[in-house]
Amino acid sequence: MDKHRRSLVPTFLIAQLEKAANGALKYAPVTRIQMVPLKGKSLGIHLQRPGIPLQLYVEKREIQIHSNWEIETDVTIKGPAMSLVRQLTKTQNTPADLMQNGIEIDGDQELAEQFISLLRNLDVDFEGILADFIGDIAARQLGNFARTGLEIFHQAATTFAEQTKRFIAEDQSMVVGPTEFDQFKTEVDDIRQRGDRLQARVQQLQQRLDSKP
Amino acid sequence: MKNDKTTHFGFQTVPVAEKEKRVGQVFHSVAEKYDLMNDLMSMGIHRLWKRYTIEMSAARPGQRILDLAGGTGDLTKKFSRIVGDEGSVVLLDINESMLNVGRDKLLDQGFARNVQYVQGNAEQLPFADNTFDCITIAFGLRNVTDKEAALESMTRVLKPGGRLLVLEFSKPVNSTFEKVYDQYSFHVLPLLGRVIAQDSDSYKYLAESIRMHPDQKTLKHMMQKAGLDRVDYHNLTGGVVALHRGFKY
Repeated sequence: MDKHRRSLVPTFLIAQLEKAANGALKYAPVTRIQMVPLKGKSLGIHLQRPGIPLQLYVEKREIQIHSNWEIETDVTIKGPAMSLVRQLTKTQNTPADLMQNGIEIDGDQELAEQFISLLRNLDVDFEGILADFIGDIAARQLGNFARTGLEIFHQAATTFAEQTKRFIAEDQSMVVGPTEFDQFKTEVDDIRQRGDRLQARVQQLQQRLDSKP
Repeated sequence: MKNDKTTHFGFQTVPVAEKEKRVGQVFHSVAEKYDLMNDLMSMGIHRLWKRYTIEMSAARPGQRILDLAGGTGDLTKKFSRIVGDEGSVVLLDINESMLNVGRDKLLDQGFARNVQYVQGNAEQLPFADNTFDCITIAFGLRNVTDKEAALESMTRVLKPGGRLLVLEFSKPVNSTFEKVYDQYSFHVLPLLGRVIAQDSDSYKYLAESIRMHPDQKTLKHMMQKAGLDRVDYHNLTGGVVALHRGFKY
């Protein structure tokens, strides 16, 4: 095995990611304005599980994304990929929330919050992207169709989740409710305490027997 | 007194004084189609080699960078974006045609504020000692007549703590792959040159000059001899290309 070998696959993937991100930014005018105060700042993202280091550098209208850039970034966010994605969907994160999810921030905390807020509020005009290829009218109609479809999907998913929950908990009794579980827990605690007392009693009796001549 | 020292020009042996002239003719000939040919010959992979070089450069805002043998300015363009208005990039090339193509391309794309253009020889760099934070030379070193002198000159103008990156064709690690690569180099490249750039000789020189260029370990040793520390190299695309990196302390 050649110890000097370096794969270009991550470089290729990051290049595509950068291309896609900058392509999307062209259609996100509000986000581009929000990027202005961050110009010249860098963010390190150390994704864990899978382990992928990323470095983002903000320019005037675009961002650069690298994976092997040996620079000290202004702020670094470390954490499991899924946790980071989950935090982006929340409207607000407290430091406690982040720590609970295994996310660490190293460096300028305020800058980290600005970066997270920028990513969370990313507002890409997908209709605009489509319009460049198929025209305004068709893009608008497709947009309406997609919005309706998403709404139906969202409703169906919510209903399905609720129905499943009811079926498992009530109809099939496959899982116990919170009250039932608390009662069971109390009973287990009670049995454990009785067991402890019995064990102590047996030990006392044993000691008495042993001390008899 | 007659100077009878010789060097190689591809597989030919030529007087030292003639190599520079011949290399100059090659690049005058290919300058206009250089970018297109690079894309065709490497199937676009040269962009990834250069991107990897940028990442390894650790360039940051405010730095001063020298893109040696910078040609049509691929690396300069990237560095210009990174160093910003507080930093600067010098694109240096010995060949006037390549420098003109690079300058026109960069100016057309709006890179003007922090880029300077210098026509000069890598063996005698026209800069003061300890000037640059980072120096790159991508696919240029093998065309330099006196590589040792060039490496020493680069080390001289590098700031203490600065790094030199040499991106250059090298020796494939796998022998089977090397045979396929040889076939490609000596048959496909000249053909592409003839069809696209109407110049098969220049691309025959390209293939030959790659074979004559020092392999990974030899170049590493040369960099150490020039005064660089912590020299290492990364083989890219199976060793077709290697990125050597060294620091000045």
